[in-house]
Amino acid sequence: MTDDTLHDRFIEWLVGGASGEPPRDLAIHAALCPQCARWIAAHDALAAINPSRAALPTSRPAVAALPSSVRTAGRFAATAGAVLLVGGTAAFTAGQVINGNLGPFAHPTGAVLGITGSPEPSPSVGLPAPTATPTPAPTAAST
Amino acid sequence: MDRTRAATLRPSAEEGMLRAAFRELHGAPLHGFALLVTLGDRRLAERLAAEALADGARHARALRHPERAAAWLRARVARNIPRRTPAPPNDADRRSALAPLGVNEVAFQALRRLEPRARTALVTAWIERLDDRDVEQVLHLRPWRRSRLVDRARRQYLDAYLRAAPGPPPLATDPAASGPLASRVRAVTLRTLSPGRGSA
Repeated sequence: MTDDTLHDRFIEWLVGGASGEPPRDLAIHAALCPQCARWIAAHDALAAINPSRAALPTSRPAVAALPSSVRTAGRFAATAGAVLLVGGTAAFTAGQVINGNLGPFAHPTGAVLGITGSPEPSPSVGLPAPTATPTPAPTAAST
Repeated sequence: MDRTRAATLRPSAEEGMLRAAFRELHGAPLHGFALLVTLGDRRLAERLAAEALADGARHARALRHPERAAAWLRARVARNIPRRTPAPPNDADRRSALAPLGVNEVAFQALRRLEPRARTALVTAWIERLDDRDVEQVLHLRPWRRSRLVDRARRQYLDAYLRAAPGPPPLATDPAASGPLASRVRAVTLRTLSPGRGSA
């Protein structure tokens, strides 16, 4: 059997999981082959890794700390609150429109229609109050 | 009154102990798994592991079988790995996070060449040696797809390792090669070549 065949068979055994002991002919070949030594090193480098050497995770999950039922209830409450707020605002506004009591937003015409009587005179601010000018009485001399 | 109170407290105390035991049993290996699949992203690995552990602890009663529980936890971590991380660590940080687990420089270079999913396959099947059905659960794959992915991941890792590694001397002349496979190969060789092997 050639070295190439032994080499290929050893790699095949290795990639296949390398379980148990290698066949004797393959072991002898692998012990003398520099290429196989690298494959063995690659395999053993993985075997040297031990995930259990990590520490316990310390950070507390921000979201997962709450059970999913609590999260769902929270979302439901937020949605219901938003719906109530929007609905309440809409109802209030509609009521105000129906009553015609819109304060500063009231239409001028509508406000006038709702008032009876005549407006009271308001004092002028910028102009002086008009004063009566005496007109000269007709005299006998002028005629 | 006291008896009633004790009876109401007992289940929650038992639950607390169960959760603590669950966390103690699975915490470190799960964190190590998360570090490996995220290639040493400490912050991300810790968050993923902590979330999975908190969720698993709540189902500790149902997750009594340790190997099935390990697969369940790893599946949760694998599912939640983001495609992109906003601030990935640099290589020096990654190396220093993985070195305590036993990841040497060449293995780091080789693991780096793998996609996260291939890395997950390699870690579960080859490093942690999980059962095939557990690997399938972690990867969320059917058996034949799992087999293909694991084989591909192994080949990619080995190819990348051979590319990155300096050429070591043959095993027979290298006393430094002391890994489990090197020891097995050496033992079979010595037994085969020793004079009294026929009598054994």
